[in-house]
Amino acid sequence: MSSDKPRNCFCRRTRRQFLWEAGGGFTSVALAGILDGAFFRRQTVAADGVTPLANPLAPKDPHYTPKAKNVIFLFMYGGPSHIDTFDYKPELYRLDGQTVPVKTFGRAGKKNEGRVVGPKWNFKQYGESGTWVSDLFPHVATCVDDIAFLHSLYAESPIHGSAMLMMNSGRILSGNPCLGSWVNYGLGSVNQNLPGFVVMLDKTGGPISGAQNWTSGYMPASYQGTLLRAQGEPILDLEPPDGLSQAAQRRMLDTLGRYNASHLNSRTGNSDLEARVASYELAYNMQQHAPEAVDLASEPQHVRDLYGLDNERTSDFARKCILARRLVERGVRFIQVYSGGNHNDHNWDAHGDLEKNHNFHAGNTDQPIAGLLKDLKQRGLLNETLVIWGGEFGRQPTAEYAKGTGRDHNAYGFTMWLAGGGIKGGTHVGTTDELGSRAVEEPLHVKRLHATILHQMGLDPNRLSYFYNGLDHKLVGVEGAEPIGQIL
Amino acid sequence: MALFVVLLNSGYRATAQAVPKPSEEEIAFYVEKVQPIFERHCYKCHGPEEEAQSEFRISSRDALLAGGELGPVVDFDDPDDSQLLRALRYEDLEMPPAGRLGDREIEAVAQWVEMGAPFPAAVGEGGGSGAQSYWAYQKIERPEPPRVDDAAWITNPIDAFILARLEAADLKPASQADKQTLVRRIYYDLTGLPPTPEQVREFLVDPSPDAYARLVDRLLDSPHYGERWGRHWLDVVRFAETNGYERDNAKPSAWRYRDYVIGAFNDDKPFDRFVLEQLAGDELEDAGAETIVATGYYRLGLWDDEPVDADQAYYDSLDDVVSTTGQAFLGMTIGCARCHDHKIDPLPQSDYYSLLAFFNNTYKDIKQLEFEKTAFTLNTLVTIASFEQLVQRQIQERKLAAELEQVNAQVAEYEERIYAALTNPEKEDAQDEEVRRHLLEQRRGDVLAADELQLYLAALEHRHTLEKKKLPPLPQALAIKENGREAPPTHVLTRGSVHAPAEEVQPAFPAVLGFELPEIPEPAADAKSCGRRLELARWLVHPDNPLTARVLANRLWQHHFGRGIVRTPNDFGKFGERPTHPQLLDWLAAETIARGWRLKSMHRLIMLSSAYRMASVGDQEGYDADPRNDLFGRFDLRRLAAEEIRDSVLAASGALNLKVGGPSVFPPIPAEILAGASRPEAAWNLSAPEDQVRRSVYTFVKRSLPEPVLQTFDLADNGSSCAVRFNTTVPTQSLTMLNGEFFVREAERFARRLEEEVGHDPAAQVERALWLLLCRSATEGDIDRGVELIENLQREEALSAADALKYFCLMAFNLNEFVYVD
Repeated sequence: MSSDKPRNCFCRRTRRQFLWEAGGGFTSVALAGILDGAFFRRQTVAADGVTPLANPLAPKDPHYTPKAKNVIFLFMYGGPSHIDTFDYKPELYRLDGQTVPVKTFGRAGKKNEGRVVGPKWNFKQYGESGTWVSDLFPHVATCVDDIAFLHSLYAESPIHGSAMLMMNSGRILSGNPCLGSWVNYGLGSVNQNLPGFVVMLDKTGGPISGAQNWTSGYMPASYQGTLLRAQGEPILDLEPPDGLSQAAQRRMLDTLGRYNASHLNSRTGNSDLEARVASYELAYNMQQHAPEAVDLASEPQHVRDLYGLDNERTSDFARKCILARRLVERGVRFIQVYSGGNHNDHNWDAHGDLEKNHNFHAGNTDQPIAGLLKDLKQRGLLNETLVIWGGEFGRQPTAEYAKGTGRDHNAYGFTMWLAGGGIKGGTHVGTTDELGSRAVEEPLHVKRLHATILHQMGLDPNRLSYFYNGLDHKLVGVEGAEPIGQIL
Repeated sequence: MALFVVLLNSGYRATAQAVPKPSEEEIAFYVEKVQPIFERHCYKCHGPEEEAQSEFRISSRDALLAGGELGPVVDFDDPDDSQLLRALRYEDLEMPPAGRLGDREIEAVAQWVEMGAPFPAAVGEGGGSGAQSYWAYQKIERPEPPRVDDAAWITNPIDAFILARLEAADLKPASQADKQTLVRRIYYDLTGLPPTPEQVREFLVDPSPDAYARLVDRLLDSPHYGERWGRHWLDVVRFAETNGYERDNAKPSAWRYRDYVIGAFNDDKPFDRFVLEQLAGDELEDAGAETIVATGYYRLGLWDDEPVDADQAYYDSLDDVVSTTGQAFLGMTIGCARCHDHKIDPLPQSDYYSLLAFFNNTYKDIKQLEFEKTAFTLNTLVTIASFEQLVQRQIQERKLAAELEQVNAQVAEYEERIYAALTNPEKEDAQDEEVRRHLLEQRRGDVLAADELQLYLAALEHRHTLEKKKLPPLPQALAIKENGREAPPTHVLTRGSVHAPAEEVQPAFPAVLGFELPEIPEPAADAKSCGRRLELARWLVHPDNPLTARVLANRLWQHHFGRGIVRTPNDFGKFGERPTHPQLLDWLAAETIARGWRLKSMHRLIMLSSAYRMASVGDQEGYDADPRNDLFGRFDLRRLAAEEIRDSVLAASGALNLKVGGPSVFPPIPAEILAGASRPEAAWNLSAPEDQVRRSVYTFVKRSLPEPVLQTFDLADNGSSCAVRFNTTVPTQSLTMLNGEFFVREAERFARRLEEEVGHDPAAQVERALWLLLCRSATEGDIDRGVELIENLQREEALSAADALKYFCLMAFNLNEFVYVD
């Protein structure tokens, strides 16, 4: 495991082409460090500081033909228990209550033995693939033939804060750009009226470390995630102040335009000033289009039923899943939806009563998730939309405390799944040991997941890089990582 | 540039084998055209690292000649027949095995072999002598200002360096900016605040030739100078007031470091002293509260209180200090040498650990928290009370004790009498104070007379008050604390892993700079630290150190002109940009040292130059010939920094509170932003109204929750040292300025201010508003446009006069002319 290596050491090997500090404006930032010469030449707008602005989120060509155009990452914050959901371990039922030797590492530190807590739900086989799924996910179970399961993921930290950063940004140290930032940096956005990286949080609050989980880190802020609220004003500052009509605001913008034109007059050809003028029109367009994107009024009843929108338990997550689909339809590249927020049992962090916790969170999300997969499929969108399910780690097979069913964190082995976007459904990669305590066959570092996502989006994970502080940074780090071939 | 290349090559000594020395162009060809091909297609097996799979490694010209199992891979007598090329062409070996390269790629490699396979000088392969001659490592010699044709343009030597280059390119400098432009430029430059209309007028009507120089001096004396220039330094030292990570706990008293920096700039503290205090304020002979606070420098970075691997995390913390120190003072990206030798600069891995050894006694003061087995706290607060404060404290404590003694005696006297008058069961009950009071009330006059009872109760109250009285805490600072006089040994860590220590190293300066090993004096028997940091700090500011003064001079220039002479102020190495005016940089560096490292004197020098006073609009010829303004033929217009935007809006609305210093404040932030925190209810501790409108530099810097207005306008990323902020223009900024809470609230306040100051006439309101925002009198057209908007909003959109004015104000905050400075 790479914990043996320092974690922020990603040294460049190639001379960067352009540099932010070189004063090329942020057009060049958007391009710096993408190393493929041909790709680079095609994208280059003269980094001379005078060429009119190119939006950093303007669409860019991928490295090769992409399988997926969009990503929906359903983030089960807190760490769902793999052995109670998608990683069937029949032996565990038998061992329930027995103390067995097993190495674990969670928030309570490292242990060498523990009392087994048997899975609290029954598993059944589903689909042509015969995939085992627990009773927590009866709806998702009906989609297993479209899903590829990764049973042998491992991460570098079993602590929420750093593990969240690992899953979102590839490093357990903070300050690095997130997956969604990388995708938008690499590909730009096809819809300039909506942000390219959208995050929807749980109603109980954000995850630990807050905005670090959707930051663009050392990249310009244009690549950071935008919080989208499922109800009310969808994007911060999108709506004109109370009492100001759109028409009145249009008058303000027209007057502003006239002042700015007069200012520009004596400073002709200044791209910064022109860019700022243009940004007001882009902002105005966003105001026109974003509210429509989040308005569910036009969704027919059968769609509402499919997601469980009218059911109290599932309504919240259903709304977010429908929004995710609508955003995909409008070309938003990367959408992250959180199940769980805040701390403790507000998310999947089942340290206390495992059954209560997982029944609650799975019950809130199972139908909406299945609804999303089916809806995307019916609309022919699933093959170009990569859906990812999982948390920052899994949970231990043993109890955390002397009594009770609570499980501590487990980063040694856990399950995530992918569907759509060119992923081979009904497949399984890797295994954990018979207790589910750690990955044994085909262990997959989280970076392999990241490499797979970038690869499906048409980006070479080992080539997509960004120059910063003397180094070429990559999402997959200096050692690189290969996509998971078995599921492609 | 030509001169520069000569300078470089003249120092390059050929090695024994008389290898032809590669030219800059040849190296560039390799780095840009050939190396990327190798990297992508060959490095996996033939990379330069020692752990490469194949015996043949593409690491140097010598390595190519040595080749692998099949002998040399290049043949300089018949380059086209080199095995390397035959393999790439699939003529015998087929490399890379994954697929033949494109013809153009093969052609690039062929061209390069034809050149003699030039490689950039790398560490430890005979390139050392070349490395030592690298421009940034040369001793700083003060160059003679060059001759120029237009001597009249020269105000001071800076201008000679600028003009000579322009003349050589057949270009003319832009005309000098008018006073109206200059006054706004220098107020923002030195204080980050706009001049008031009165300040503008005062300057414009002052006909004396030294009016400008006097204004510069006055602004340098302003307490707001330190707030602006101190902020530049806070970017470089990754200033923040929380640790980051899961808990993102506050760094207590970090604001004192911020105030120290602001104060150091305001006091014109010599920069060499500034360095000594930050790096070794506790080891100085005259150490005191101020120099202790300065060592907060070490504690500003990200710090994980619950690391997965505590031993490795210890080195992550040290890496934060090594990397920051390398970049902030030396312009060296030495952090890149943590796992292996630096890829391009002559910094072997051992240099990294030798530098780390200076600090390897500073992060042991971490304490495991009791409540969770994996969490730590950094026990790093130091009391910084002065002797007087300590004496004062003792006096207060004694006074309190004496008072308490007195009242205790009083109470005891009464109680003796009380208990004497009570029955036994009553005595027992009366143990409880409440019951006792009740009893005495009931039997008023019986046990104690009414007036005595009052006195007794008052004494009790007094005792309670005294017991609860706490003396205010003594001031504490986030500071360095070492683990005693002996530093632990420092080892090179193989591939940066704490679990793979290699040879031991001693504290030493980067070898390429050619300094003797530091002599660290034996620390006194009762020393609290090992004394290493002081030696490092002394070396940094030694006049022979080639980097510190250059890096500093470049930062000064950067913030006056919008970009450094070296455009990468934290990287003077080969990945960085070359200086556009190397001689000017050296002259400025030499001058900085000669002027006792006093920055105010340098500001004055730079700001009085003709170069600084150029207009932002030049002639078309200049734009065409030098679009990037490499030659400084005109003054680059700049967007206000995040803090300047927020402060200027507050200044316009009249709300700005100019109080200097003190604990950080929490201005209101939108509920939607708070919702993103994992504990929204506890995330932000809103300040009192007067503190909500303090200057932005006093806003609490929380790593997981940056103040949103500031963040929108490209606040420095505080994960590591930030030399140059981004300057983005994106639609979300426009949304924030049009619709955001802060701007709408201040527009309303601004409108009220205008009504108070000039009444209800729209023309007067518009004129006054534009004066306050743009620091100039409005033209007729300006006024007409504004009045038209106000009238239309009322007539066509049915807004009240007050609202129409408010939205005019909001519109005006969005003006390009407001947000940019010429």
